Amino acid sequence: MVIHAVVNRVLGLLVAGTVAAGSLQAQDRDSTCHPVLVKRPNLASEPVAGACRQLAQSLLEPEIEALWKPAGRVVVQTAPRDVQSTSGGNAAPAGSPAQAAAVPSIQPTAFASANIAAIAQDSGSNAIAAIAINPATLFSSVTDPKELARLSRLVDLTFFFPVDGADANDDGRLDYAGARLRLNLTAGSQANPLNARGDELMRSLTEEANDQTVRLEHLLNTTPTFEACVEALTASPVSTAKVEEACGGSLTLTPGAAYEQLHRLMGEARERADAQYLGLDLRVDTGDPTFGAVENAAGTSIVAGLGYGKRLAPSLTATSGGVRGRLGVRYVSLRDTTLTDWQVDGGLALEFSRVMETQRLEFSAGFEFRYSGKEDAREILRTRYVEFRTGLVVPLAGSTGLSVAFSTPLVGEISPTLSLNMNWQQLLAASR
Amino acid sequence: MTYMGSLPAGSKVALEIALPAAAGGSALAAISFADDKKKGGSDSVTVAPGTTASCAVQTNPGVRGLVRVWVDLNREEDSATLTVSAGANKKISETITGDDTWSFTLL
Repeated sequence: MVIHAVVNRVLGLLVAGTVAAGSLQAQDRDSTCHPVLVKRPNLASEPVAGACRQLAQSLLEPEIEALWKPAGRVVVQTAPRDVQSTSGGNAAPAGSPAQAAAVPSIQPTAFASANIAAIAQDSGSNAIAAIAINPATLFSSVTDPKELARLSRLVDLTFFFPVDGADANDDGRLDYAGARLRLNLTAGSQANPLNARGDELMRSLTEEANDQTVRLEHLLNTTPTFEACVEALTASPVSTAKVEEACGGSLTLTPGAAYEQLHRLMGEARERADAQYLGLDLRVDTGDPTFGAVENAAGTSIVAGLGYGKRLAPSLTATSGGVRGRLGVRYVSLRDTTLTDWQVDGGLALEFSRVMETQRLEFSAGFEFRYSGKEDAREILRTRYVEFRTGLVVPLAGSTGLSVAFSTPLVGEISPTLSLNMNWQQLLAASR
Repeated sequence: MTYMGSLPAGSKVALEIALPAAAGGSALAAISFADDKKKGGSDSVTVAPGTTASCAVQTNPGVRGLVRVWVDLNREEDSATLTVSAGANKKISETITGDDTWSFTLL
């Protein structure tokens, strides 16, 4: 115990002596740094104490600035594009022959999107155009990325109509049109961790700048060749090799990659945040979804349901798999008969996807079904069926994409469909 | 891009931004600090044309560190007046044109 105490005492004295010597050395070096410091712009009246720390920071300022001016503009916080979901739905109307995925997501489009679908089914070929808007972002003047992170995930409205004639049979009524509303009940729980991660990453840039300053201060305090070291640090451009040679120590002077790292880390946070959703899926259709293939099938239908999805092992760089499901109630009232019906409507699918810049390459396959008690009217009411559905969404240049979807009945009497969709979406700003 | 000198560690550092009515749109200003004990904080504010807004961080006494302020203006030709204070003492007040960042050392 006594030996232990003595050793501790000696070690303590040694440490104290080293600290005191270091402190004295730092004070001496501050006196050396000060004349250099006060010659720099705006710094004539700065104190001697801490002069080397200030000199280090002022010398590093152009390098540190690269952390926040990666593209020539100041980045105060994450950009709207950083928070835009790559999982936002496209405008292809769910439940119509133009549906692009096996089971569509209820995650809304971030701002606006459009879709033109060429479809083939028993009745022949048709074309459907759809436009989806996110009223929360489109009609507000919000520019704060944190608020946009929530609003861009909250809700969208899709309107669709045939483009080869709204009233091809000249009966004075729309042949087929509809609207969709996707309300993401998990928008807040997706945006909150994303925003927290954004704040954390921006703060980490300040920490990185301070760490660099501390390293350079240490170099200034310890270099045996102070004048040569300062000369190398004030050269234009600064050469890391010359600094290390002149100062006699190593120093990293290229923090510019930190912002690229921030983009990547935000992307990973975004994928994690959007990996799970739950939301409301409302659909209204009017007209004949069979485009004349089934007589008297025209009517009005309303679907109210819930959609859920979960992506496992979400990643910015690797393929991830997941599951999507939906379940709802459908009410249909036919136009040319007195038939009405209440039906259960749902689906379950697997999805595999990979992030491609701002979009996703996505493949999905699964089943959709509809059921009601009216067996004898199942064809006209489009009920009592199970169909296999599959879809492939391929991102093209920028914010456009192409999708191919196919469905075929396994049980029941509905038409198989094949659709080829062109998707376009508006991206949020890459800077504020 | 300017190093603006030292501020006393432990002070509450405030950034005030005054945006002229002629500005092309709202501006975003932020302040952040990090110190040698790995503590830090940040605050930001959006300011509309013709108004003044401020944000602040409380730094830790006796710990050296770095404070940075940023201003992201709507257009590069917009201008704004920035004032940075430490406690009751005004450190600097200047009019900038275009986006800018200032940095300070906590001593």
